[in-house]
Amino acid sequence: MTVLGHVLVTGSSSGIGMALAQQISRHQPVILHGRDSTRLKIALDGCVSGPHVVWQHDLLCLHGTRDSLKTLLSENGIFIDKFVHCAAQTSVSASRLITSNSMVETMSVNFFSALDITSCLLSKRINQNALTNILFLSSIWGQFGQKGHTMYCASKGALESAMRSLAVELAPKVRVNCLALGAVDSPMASRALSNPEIKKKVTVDYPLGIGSIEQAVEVCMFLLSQTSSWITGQVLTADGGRTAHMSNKF
Amino acid sequence: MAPLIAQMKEIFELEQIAESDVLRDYDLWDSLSVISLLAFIDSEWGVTLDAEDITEVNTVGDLWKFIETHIANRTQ
Repeated sequence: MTVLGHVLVTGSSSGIGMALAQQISRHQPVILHGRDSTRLKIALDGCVSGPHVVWQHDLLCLHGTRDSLKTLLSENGIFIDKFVHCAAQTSVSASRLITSNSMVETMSVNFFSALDITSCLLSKRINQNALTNILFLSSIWGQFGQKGHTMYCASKGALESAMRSLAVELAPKVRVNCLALGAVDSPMASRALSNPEIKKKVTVDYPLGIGSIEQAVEVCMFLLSQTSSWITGQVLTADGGRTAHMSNKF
Repeated sequence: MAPLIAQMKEIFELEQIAESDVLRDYDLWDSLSVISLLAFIDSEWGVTLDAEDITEVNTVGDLWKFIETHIANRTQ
């Protein structure tokens, strides 16, 4: 019998990351990553029982990520064959108010940590050459402009660029892709969507309406499965038609 | 109130901010500066407000009272 590797899902204590980790737990052991131990416990309770592992770590702590992950793998005697980066933070502000601290924070959580973890998992000593699949959660705003979101957009654009180089470098052993999502009714978007005016505008902008967490998870599962075995180096968009919609809106 | 005043000087690029200032009179009062202000209030006092919440707020002093009320409600 082959020993199954774990699937690492960063940002799995809420939203899409949590739902994805719970879905994966039906087939394979997962590593649930997050900052908050209480929320991670809740996420774990929603998993189908298995040898799942919790990794409590703040991705803001850039220099500690590698050591923390290395320790987690060796202490539990496990390896990771799929890595999904869902962790992200967003802060809306006018570009004239961006501070060097907020720049570093956004890039650390959204981008640097993804590369740091990837690099760590490619080490044979740390991860036994087990890695076969990397998925970075991106956003349609990685390729299009949005007022007040300069740093968030930049971090997603960086993820997408890095993804292509990784895909070329790591083929054929590892597939690397991005999923660019439009607005999903997740905790990250809930505050904006609670404003009736914004919700109404979003409904007009999205031909298929805003997405659900379940719909986002389905596409992730496709990119993580053998069904997508010939796909690498791609940004797959799931946005209910938002980026195709260029007609005048009435 | 001091942190609010300090941040408002940054956001609205002004040397002085007075309690009696009417928010809507600031040259740089627009949707993005409002969002930036709300983000600061959230991170500083854990008070989550929407742009709609402060449409009724008139002056800087009123805004501070509004924040204080929310802090009080939260700690109850």
